[in-house]
Amino acid sequence: MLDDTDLVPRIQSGDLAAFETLYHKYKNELYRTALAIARDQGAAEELLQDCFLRAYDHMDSVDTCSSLRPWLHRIIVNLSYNWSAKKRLPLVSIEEVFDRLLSLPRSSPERAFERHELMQVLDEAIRSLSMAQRVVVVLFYMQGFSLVEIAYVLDCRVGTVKSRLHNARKALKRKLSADLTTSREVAYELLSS
Amino acid sequence: MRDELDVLVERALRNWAADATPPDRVRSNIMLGVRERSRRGSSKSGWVRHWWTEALAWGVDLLVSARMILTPSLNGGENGWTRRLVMAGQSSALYYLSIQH
Repeated sequence: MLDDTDLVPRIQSGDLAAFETLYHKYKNELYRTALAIARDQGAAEELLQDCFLRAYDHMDSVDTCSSLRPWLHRIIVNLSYNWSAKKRLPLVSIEEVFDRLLSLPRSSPERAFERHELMQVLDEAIRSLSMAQRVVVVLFYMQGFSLVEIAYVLDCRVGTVKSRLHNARKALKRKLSADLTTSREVAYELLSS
Repeated sequence: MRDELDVLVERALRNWAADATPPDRVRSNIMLGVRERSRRGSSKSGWVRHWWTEALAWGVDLLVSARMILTPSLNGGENGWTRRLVMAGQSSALYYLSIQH
């Protein structure tokens, strides 16, 4: 796979094949980021499309010496924010998460099902976070960005990222530990798998 | 420091979207849009280049004309100036007038 520092000058000089290579390089992770934030397949496709068209429009202003990964994420996160502001993303209530946690089978022999349930509860807990917290969680846990990189993507201070992540973890912990004792064993199983 | 919550969240997110991949129509739409932009961009830059060439040609003409008019003639006198004006304007009307005069 070609390096961004090779691709950018070629794209800037009008090489469309190089742009297509760039698309294939980043399409999956950008799509997954959009999907994790928007939770809507159609929206994620639209966001990915807009992201690459916007990237093409602003390719001349790109620093040719650095990776495009944070920059592309910056575009797709901004587009996701705009999209969610228009759509008013429905948040799952905390009560709903608690209900689901309490409904987890306590002594079910079907571990696979229980494990699936745990993942679903986790997923819902993440969905119940505020947009700002969810974006930080997705970039940090799913995409493995550092705090400094997230600060660049969100155009804010590292301290702000730290505090959002801290609050998100606190919220997740509060939601999950409420009755996660039911699935402790499953959680450990999952951690060791 | 990472604890079990970090690992669980990380795994939940990564598992959830592990196989998600955009359909090929997204690529087609992007490349269609990019080609359209590229085409529009090149016709726009072509027009700008044409405009600059024209402006440059006019500028050079103006400089040459000014030099021809303002450079003192060895002959001096009205005929010399008239001739320069005629050459600068690339018109023969004044030249004929000055000869008849």
